[in-house]
Amino acid sequence: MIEYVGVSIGTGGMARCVQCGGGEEITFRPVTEVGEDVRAVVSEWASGTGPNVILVGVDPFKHPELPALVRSVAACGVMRLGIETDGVALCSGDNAAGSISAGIRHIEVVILAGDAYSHDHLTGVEGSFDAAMAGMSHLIQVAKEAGSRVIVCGRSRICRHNYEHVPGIVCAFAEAGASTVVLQIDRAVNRSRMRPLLEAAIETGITYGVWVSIEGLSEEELGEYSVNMISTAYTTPLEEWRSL
Amino acid sequence: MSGRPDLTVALVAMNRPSYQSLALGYLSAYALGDQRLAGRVGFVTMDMNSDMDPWWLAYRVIRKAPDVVAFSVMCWNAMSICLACNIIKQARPDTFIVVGGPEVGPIAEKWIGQRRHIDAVVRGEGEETFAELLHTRLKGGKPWRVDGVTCWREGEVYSAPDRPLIEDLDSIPSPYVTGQIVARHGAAYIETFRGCPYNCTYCYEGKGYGRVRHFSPQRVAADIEMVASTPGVTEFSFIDSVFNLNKEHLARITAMLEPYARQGKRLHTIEVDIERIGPEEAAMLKRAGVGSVETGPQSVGSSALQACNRKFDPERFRAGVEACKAEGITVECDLIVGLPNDTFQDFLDGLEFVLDVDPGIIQFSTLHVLPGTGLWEHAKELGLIYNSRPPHEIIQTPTLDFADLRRAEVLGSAVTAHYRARIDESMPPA
Repeated sequence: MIEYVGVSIGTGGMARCVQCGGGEEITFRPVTEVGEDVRAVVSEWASGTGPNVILVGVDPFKHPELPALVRSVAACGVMRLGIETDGVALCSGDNAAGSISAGIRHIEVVILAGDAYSHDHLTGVEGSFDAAMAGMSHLIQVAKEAGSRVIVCGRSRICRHNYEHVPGIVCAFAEAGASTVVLQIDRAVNRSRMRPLLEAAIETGITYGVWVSIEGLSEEELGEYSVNMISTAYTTPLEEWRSL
Repeated sequence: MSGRPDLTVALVAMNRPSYQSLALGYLSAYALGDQRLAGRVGFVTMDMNSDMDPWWLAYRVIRKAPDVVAFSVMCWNAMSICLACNIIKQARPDTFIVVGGPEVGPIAEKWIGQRRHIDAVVRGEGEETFAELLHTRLKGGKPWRVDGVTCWREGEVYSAPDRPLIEDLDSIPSPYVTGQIVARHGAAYIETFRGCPYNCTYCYEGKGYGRVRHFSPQRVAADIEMVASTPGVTEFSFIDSVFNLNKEHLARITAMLEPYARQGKRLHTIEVDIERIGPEEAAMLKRAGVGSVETGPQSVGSSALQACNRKFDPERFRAGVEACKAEGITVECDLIVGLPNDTFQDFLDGLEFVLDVDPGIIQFSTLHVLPGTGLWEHAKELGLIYNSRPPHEIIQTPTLDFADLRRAEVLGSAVTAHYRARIDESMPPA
């Protein structure tokens, strides 16, 4: 419903399933380059509520010039500014408060399972689940204290190694205070095995008051749950957005 | 007044935090202006938060030991007030308990019939009826002789004849001018007329108060002066159902407010018919000090709009929002989920429309089938299934089943949360 343009700030370094293999090299784009992209989005934004930008590609808290990067992007005149993160850094130092004061209003936290053992096993990073959950809760508390309207969302990339966790993922996000959860389904996942678990995940979301949107499945595959293809906020990669 | 008056009255409302009940102010101002009551009746007004525990509400009332306690009952506080009344009656059986307000007036007999601990219901406009009821109490008369009252008569529920609406609204003394309400910053509300020219079937405003009746311009000007001149008050508002009732009315009120707006006084969240706002009207609102307005469309589904007796012209609506935005006025667009005949797709279309219009604030709520409204009267034929207990939320409709309604609520809440998560305009530049 609300469109964000995904502007890359680098590659690699996001929470990903190590069992799927293929580690990606971490790279960072310079602040000036990112700023140019964001200014282009602002100047070319034609209609609908916005301009809205989400920084993607690498966890921004790993970016060596994060404060300058966010300040530069916020100063370009975007209406909504989002980041995607594994959430681990949100509990450290002033990261949460700093993000909010710099203008970030939409935070997508990525986890791969609904419990610490499974998530840490899938990411290969011990303690990352507990840190992400604590980081989300901390960010929500800091935003509340600051009187800032921040939205915290969950995102999970679902592969054949974690598809059984989808109800637990939604439950974990809901308990940490997320407003929405996006389940991004990989092509390799067995659809028929996935279906009842997805239903459980969506219904779990409803009972918690959390909207679950599904990416990667067709209307036919979702059947009566096809309404959950609606995303409250969706990201269009910059190149694709420009070509539209 | 020295010593204890002949009759002590506690007036109680449960509102959102810091709100001051204008209704209670009207009741005491009117009663104290009645020569038969002046000097004999003493009032204490209790504006409580709507989330207050009913036991503590009862405690606060009982500690005041009033002879009469009167509650302003709305759909959102009815259950708490019921429980508090029950406790009060058992702790102090001699306390005369009166209720009034839109939640109870239209269903007075049913309400009191199910609650033996309630002594009387004041139906409809309360000022005159309540004062008359207090006078009856003072002289030891029977409440069932008072027009506009429903009460117990020899063990049976009895409704006295309806009381006509107050013709001359100026006969109700101003709560502000009489000192019954001391305006507080952001919490003071002024009323310039009663009733509503529209008759939306989900709303009580038009039906409950009938045709539009105005307070005089002199009275309104005096209220504005009183509120706007109160030290510390830089923001107040109006409870009128439509602030831009017509162009003449808007021009008149703007002229009254403009001097105060120049001093920095601001109005928050007045309700408007956005489709009747163009550049000229928006400029008037700006001059009046209006910072934000609240409006529909409630739904964009043509069938629902028809069932709700509402008109909607998307282009005029959009133009009205643009005109307000051009003057720096924030617009709050309201959507209601669960209106009769609305489908899930209509609901999505409504969300898409308001997002596209980009008003500044999007507010989303679930239908409440309120007593006395058109939807309440025709609920059965419309197939509306709703909770009979207040606040009467819709359970399902023929076009939106229970599950779809809950999905719509969750989606709507998520979209509005996303929408408002924007960079504050006040944020300092990097």
